[in-house]
This record gives sequence, C-alpha cells and structure tokens, in this order.
Amino acid sequence: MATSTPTSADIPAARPLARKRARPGDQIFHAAVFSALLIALAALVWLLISVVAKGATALDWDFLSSQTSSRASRAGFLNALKGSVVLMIITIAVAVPLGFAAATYLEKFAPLSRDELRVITRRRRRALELRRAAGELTGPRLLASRLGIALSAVWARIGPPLNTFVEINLSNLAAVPSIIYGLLGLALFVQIMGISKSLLAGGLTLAILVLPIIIIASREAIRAVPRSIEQGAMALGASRWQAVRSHVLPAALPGMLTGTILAMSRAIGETAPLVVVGGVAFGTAVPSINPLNAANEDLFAMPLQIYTWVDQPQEDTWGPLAAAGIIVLLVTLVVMNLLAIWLRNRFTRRW
Amino acid sequence: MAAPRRRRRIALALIATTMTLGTIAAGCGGDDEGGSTGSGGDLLGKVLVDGSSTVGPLTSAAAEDFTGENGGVDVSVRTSGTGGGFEVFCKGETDISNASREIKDEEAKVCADAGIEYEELRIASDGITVVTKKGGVVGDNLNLTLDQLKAIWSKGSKINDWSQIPGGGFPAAKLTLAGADSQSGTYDFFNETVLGEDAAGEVLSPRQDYSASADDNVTVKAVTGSAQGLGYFGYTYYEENADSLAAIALDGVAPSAETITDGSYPLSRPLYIYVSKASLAKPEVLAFTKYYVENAVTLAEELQFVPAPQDSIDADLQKLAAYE
Repeated sequence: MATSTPTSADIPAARPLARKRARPGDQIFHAAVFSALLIALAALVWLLISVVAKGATALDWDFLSSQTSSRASRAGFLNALKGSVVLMIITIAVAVPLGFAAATYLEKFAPLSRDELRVITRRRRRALELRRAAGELTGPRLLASRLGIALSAVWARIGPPLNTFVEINLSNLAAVPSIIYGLLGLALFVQIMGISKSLLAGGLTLAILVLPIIIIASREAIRAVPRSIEQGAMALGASRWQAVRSHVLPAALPGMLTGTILAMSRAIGETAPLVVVGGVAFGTAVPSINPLNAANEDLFAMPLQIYTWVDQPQEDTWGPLAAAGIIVLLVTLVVMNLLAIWLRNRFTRRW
Repeated sequence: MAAPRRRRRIALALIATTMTLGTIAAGCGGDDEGGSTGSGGDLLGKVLVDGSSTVGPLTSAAAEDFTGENGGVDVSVRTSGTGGGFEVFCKGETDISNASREIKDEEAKVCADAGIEYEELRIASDGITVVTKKGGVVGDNLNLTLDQLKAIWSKGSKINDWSQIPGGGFPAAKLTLAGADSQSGTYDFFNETVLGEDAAGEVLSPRQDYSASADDNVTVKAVTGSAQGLGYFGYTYYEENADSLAAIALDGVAPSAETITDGSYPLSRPLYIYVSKASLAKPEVLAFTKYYVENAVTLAEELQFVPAPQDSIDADLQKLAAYE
C-alpha cells in the first residue's frame, strides 16, 4: 500500500471499515444520546400539547382584535400585539444599522495592525503632498485633509488595543442576563435621557439587548465570504471600502439577515427587561402602530400580557387566555425562524 | 453570475417590500387607533397608576369602566408591588399608588421630603388565609391560635411535624411550609401580624426553610402538591381553590367575606389606593378616583375581592369632597 499510488479503486480495499461490528459500548452510547434527544423533544411536545389543549378554545378573531380587559370574558390580545409590533420596528430600526456597521468595521477594518495603519497613513500623506504640490489643495480643504491624516496617525497608535478591548467585551455582552439590560435601559433611557416609560424606552432597551447577537452573527456571515473576493477587487484598484461595499456586504447579506431575524425572535419573547423598564399590566389606551408615537404609548408586549394573565388568581378563567397568548407568540416565533431558514437556504452562496 | 445576481435582487426586493409595508401600516395606524374606544365626557388626560399586584386588577376594572364613559382619559396600571409603587409615587412619577398595606414610616418620609402629599383611601379588604390540603389526616375544620402560628413560622423553629405543634394535639404528619417571598406585601403583613416586632421595633423575620414565592399561584400548588403542607396567601386564591384547600380558623375565627370586611379575622387587612394631592387637582384624576371609590363595593364583588366596609367608603368620599 505504501509503495503504489492509491487509485480510486484501491481506496475501499485499503480501509476495511465495512467490517465494523457494533460493540456494546457504542450501542449504549448511541441509546444514551438518542434518549437525551427524546427527553428534550418530549418536554417540548408536552408543552405544545398542554398549551394548545388549554388555549385553542380561547383563540379566535375576537381574542386577537379586542382590547385587554380586567374581565376575562372580554379580554383580548390587541394591545399586546400592537405593542410587540412597535417594539420590533424600533428594535430593528436601531439595532440593524448599528449592528451591521459595527460588524463590518470589526471584521474588515479593525483587524488592521498598527503597521498596516501606519503604511496607510504614510500613503495618504504622500498623496496629499503630491496634490498640494500640484496646487489642487488650498486653504481650509488642505487643513481638513491634514487634520484627517493626523487623526489616522493617532488612530494607528490607539486603535488596535481599543479594538481588542471592544472585541473581548462584545462576547461578554452577548452573555449578560437580559434583566441587566433592563436595568441599563431604565438607567440610560428613562432616568438619564428622560424618555418616559413607554414603548420607545422598551424598544431601545431591546435594541441594545440584541445588538451583540446581531454583531456576532453578522461577523460570522462576513467572515464566510472568502478574502479572495475582496482582494480581487482591491487588486483592480478598488479601495477597501469600495470592495467591502460592492462585493463583501452583498454576499454576506443573507447570513446577516438570518442572524438578525434570530435575534429578533429572541427580542420578541423577552419579558424581564420590559418589566424593569416599566411594562404595564393594564392600560385603557391601545398603542398606535406608528413608531413615531412610541414615546407616548404604554409599554405593552405579548410576553408581558401573558405574564400578567398567568399571575391572576382565577386560573380557570385566565389560564386559557394566557395559553392562547402563548400560541400566538409561539406561532410568531416559528414563522420568524422559518423565514430565517428560508433566507439562509435560498440565498446563501457556497464558495 | 446571472442567477446569484437575481437572487440578490430578490433579497433586496424582499427587504424593500417589508419596509414599505411597515411604513404603510405605520401611516394607516397613526391617526385613528391611538386613543381608547368609547366616547362622551369632556375630560382629557392620562392617569398613571403603579403599585400592588393584588390591588391592580381592581384598579384596572375601575379604569376600564371609567374610560368607557370618558373616552378622553387613558389610565395605565403597572404592578411593581406595594413597595415599588411607593418608590415612584414619592418621586412624583405616578398619580395613584395601589397598596396592600399602609405606607411605612420611612416611605412616608421620602414622600414628605419630596413634597408629595397624598390621601389614603381604603377601597377593599383582603385576608391572608392560612390553608392546608383538604381531606388530609389532620382533618378539614382546623383551628390554630396566632401563638401556634408564630411558633411554627419563627426563625429557628424546629417544628416539622403536625404532632410537634405546641398544644395542638394533632396526629403525626409531615409539615411542609409554603408562603410569600420577601418581595411581596403579603410577606411583610404576615410577619408583622404573626411574628411581631423585636425590642428595637424591627419586624421579626421568619424561618428560612420554607418554599417562598412571589406568585400566590405557586404557593397554592406547593400546598396542594404536598402531603399535609401549610401555606398562606390572599383570600381570593383560597376561594378559587376551595375544593382542594381547607382554610384554617385563627383564634377561633374562620376567614370569610364577613369576618374579613369587619376585621374580626386576625389576618384581615385593608387594601388602599394612595392619591397624590397634586394629582387630585387635575379634574381627570379626581373624577377617576371618585368613580373608583363610589363603585368600589360593586367592583370588589364582581372581581371576587372582599369589599371594604361601607363606613370607610363614606369616609373616603368625604375626603374627596374637599377637592371638588
């Protein structure tokens, strides 16, 4: 075997794997792993069955279209539904641009070392001198360019350690319990910035909660695009930003969107941070779906409403409502996850 | 290259469609759906309520009925607990604070320092009901004295069996305990009334080896799930589970709507709302408070609360009359 080069016909013979016989250790391990899966699935199935059995009777159009109430016979899910929609709009509007930009920076611009940054600065300085000699740059524009170059020289010094610091903390942030984000949101948005305890404060809190998740997922997606694509573009004279914008980001977008949707399905189920930021148990005003009004709307959300209903003493009357609410929330989650899977399968490229 | 580009276009179109739909929905939703339903009444404004989650549903029901007649007013109710409610109330952030106990001296001091004056209005009653499982070996018509209860719940108590209860004469049965946790107004009230205070005036803390929960439904489950456990929670939760739970009479008085309203049941407590005087100057808050107190008894009966006695309702209305 060592003397001749193996051909395709030789390979099966050289690896006598077909002779494997099941050993008892293997079988026990197999059974153990499989039953672990079964236990996890059984818990899920039991949850689904009990929730559907309890909530199916309460779930109808009236439930979805009427306001919440302190009488179980009249109570509906409308406030919670609309509140959650507004929360999602605000969260996406804030977290997605920030998250995508941060991921692009961290993946494509931050890894530049001090030496690379210095080379770039030197190159820019040389170009500036050339243009100045040609008389193209004068007065304030010259001053502005000089300032820019001075800043990039400073950045070459402090940038890389700062990036390392951000990098380390980012992974830590994704693991912080959500109630801590609630306290952060309460302190930052409500107490310092003076936003009322409203859908706006809740949406902003959820945005900072999912930001690390979006950044991490987007970075993975950007990293999956081969460097050769970007290098090819740069070799043809594109600047780094041009290469990233026109080649890397479009290719990474499906992955980034998938990560975003998964982050959103985390945000839509969060209860604890919203309780801390000032979620209401009851309110007579149905929130408007217009996110520009969010600063004046009571903080309603699907999980908050479920929590309030479960907490009531009359379990036989409120229980079905809570279960119906859980069904709506679960369906929303499943739809969002399906969308994420579909996006991934449909648009992801194999390189 | 053609296929991937088309795909990318589809992705972009997808995003664009989502955003457009969102904007359209936002535009449509903006104008007509902001306020509450109902019409009539010329009051306008917003009433903010926070506080006890026990009182919350009653206030919510009052708010619902009131705004049905006064479409311009919106009421929102948060349930941060009695203590949490007073915290924001004394900062002037809310108009009304629901409370399942009287305001504490230190809370009153914070309010006074911030210049927040208030009216205390009693709107219903509650009785902390001590229960065990129905049909157990100790029987259903039990009586305990407050001293026996104190002996069971005191810090360092070694009573883990019904036969160990001093002067009880109960048969041997394992005694597991369940009750409220320290976040709850029920916890404060139970300890204050049953355990009392030490020489320095501090409320004694209970033994630590019991299953504690802020959610009374969890305590109900803990008692019904144990062989012969003992637990306490609000009267409403007992009423809801009366088929599986046996209420224990205290000092010979069994908990009932009557004994709780008139205060003869030892663990009965009034439920209050605290209304800021500054807010009472606003017509919508005054109108809502008045409506609430006037309908407190009917609402309490509808929502399975124990009503407040009529003379305390009359006294409340007297107080409010001064602001007309």
